[in-house]
Amino acid sequence: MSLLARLRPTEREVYELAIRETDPRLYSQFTPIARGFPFAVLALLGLGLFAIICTPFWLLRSRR
Amino acid sequence: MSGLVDLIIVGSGPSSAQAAKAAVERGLSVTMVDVGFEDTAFGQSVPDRPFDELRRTDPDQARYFLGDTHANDRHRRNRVGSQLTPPREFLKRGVDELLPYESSTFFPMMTLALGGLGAGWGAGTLTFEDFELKEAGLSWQELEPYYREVARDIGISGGLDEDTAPMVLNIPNVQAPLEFDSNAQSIFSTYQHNRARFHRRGFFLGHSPAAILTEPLRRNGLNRLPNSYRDMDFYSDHQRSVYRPRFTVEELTGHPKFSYRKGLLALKFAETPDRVNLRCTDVETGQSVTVEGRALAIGAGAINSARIVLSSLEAFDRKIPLLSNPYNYIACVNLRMLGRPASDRRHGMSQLTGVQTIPGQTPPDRTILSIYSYRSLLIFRLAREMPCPTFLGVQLARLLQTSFTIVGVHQADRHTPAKWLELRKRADGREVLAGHYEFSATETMEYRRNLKRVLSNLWALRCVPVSVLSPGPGSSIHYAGTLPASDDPRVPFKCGRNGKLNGTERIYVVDSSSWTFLPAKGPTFTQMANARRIVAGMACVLESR
Repeated sequence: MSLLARLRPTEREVYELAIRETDPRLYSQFTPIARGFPFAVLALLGLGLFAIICTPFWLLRSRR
Repeated sequence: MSGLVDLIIVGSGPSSAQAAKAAVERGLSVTMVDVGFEDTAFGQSVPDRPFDELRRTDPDQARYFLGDTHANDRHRRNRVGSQLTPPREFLKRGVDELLPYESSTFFPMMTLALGGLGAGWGAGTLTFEDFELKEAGLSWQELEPYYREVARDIGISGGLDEDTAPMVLNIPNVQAPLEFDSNAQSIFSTYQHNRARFHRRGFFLGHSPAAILTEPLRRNGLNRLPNSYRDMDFYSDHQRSVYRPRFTVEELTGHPKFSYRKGLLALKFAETPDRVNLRCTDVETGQSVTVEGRALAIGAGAINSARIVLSSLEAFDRKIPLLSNPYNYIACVNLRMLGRPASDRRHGMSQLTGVQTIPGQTPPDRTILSIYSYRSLLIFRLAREMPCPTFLGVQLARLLQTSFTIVGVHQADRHTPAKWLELRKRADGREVLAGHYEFSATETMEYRRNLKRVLSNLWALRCVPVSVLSPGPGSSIHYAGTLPASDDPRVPFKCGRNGKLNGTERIYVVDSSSWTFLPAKGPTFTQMANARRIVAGMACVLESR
């Protein structure tokens, strides 16, 4: 399995996410974040960096 | 309706529905034979309210947004049909069992639903140009009046004064185009600011011509309303703004010259000097049923029309050609919308149609882009593609959602010996259709080159491509050319220009099976116009007998 495929969420995780997303009480957790271009760029960079840092731990967790 | 009908029509998809309408209008009696599975799980249970309101308020939304069996194979990545929303899942019902098919290279989508693949159609109504029609074995002069007839019948909207109109919507008197959503508006304004530059690069952009109403369409009990921009087009047919072939079947039902035989799977035809016998099986009871008529029009889609013909002529292990548009989709981020809010008022279908040409090329092949804004398909589908934990994926998807754009890229297809269908007979007597589809090295090179041009123009539109997905042969859901037209009436498994199957007297093929070329443009509108053309000719023949 490729590294990218291993990093992707499992079907179970996707299922749980889908159930949460279709719960109207959690609606605000899934609405678009629209706070302007600079915020979006900074947030994407921050999340990207965080994702890279998380990767080894995520892979270890996925192997279990 | 009793006695021998003038015409039996197989299937209820776009071609068959228009063939039936044209035949009834010309005074012919028609029996439509169809399995006609319908949506029994969802029906009208999807509330007639805007997407965002439902997301905010409806505690039962998981039922129609996710379906009852979310964990099944529907959500496996990159499978043909995996894009269907739960209320459209009935399109796949009974297919594996009743339409046996095998292949390791070509995975078409087939259906036994009422309305055929038109029940889940994206409603694109692009006209072919004269050079495309000629290569497909048709002609603009012959087809143009029927394009107009279909447009009047189903209701078409589009921009007639746009750069793309001469290439994709070359007929007058259509309804005003649909409103763009925020994302499409920003892409279109980028295009307009740099129009001359895009034209030099052979790229044109405009509203998507679509069988979606922007004005009401009312006649004989038919009441269809303009699109209300509720973004539920993938989930329900409320207000009937988006045309579905079943509307035509419903409109015809009750007409004294029309009967609809539901639950029958057409298997084989046989001709006698004065009639056609169509042997069918009742899908509920398994009993054999024979339907008789003066002529037969097969409109079961290019793949299943071929299956019926091969089975009727007992032509096993004989290869016949096949066409299907190569298809890719590109996930993009529209930089001009990144971090910006988007209006909730939008429709879910293709917002923009792009035409990529190669300046100076002869024949001038087109590559067609359908540009969608990603909103109503929920963000879990985005998060599952992201190589990170779901909590991070959700935040990324929320940041990208208003700017996320999906571009479907269709390319033209021509016959080669490496694209074929054949009917095989198993030892147990079961007939199985087999398919094979492979690109030649030249085709692969050409498709890659075209895709590169598209990617370069997406960058110029400020849409940054983040992923190019190739769902594989068959995923375009555009099929044709299995019984191609030939001027020599002696060649078997081909059709005449009038749609009549060679070697027969009363068998006509009214879908895209008879085409000799498949342009990159969605074929449905042309299939419907061509079905009307064939029926008009057939009606004259039947009258003279």
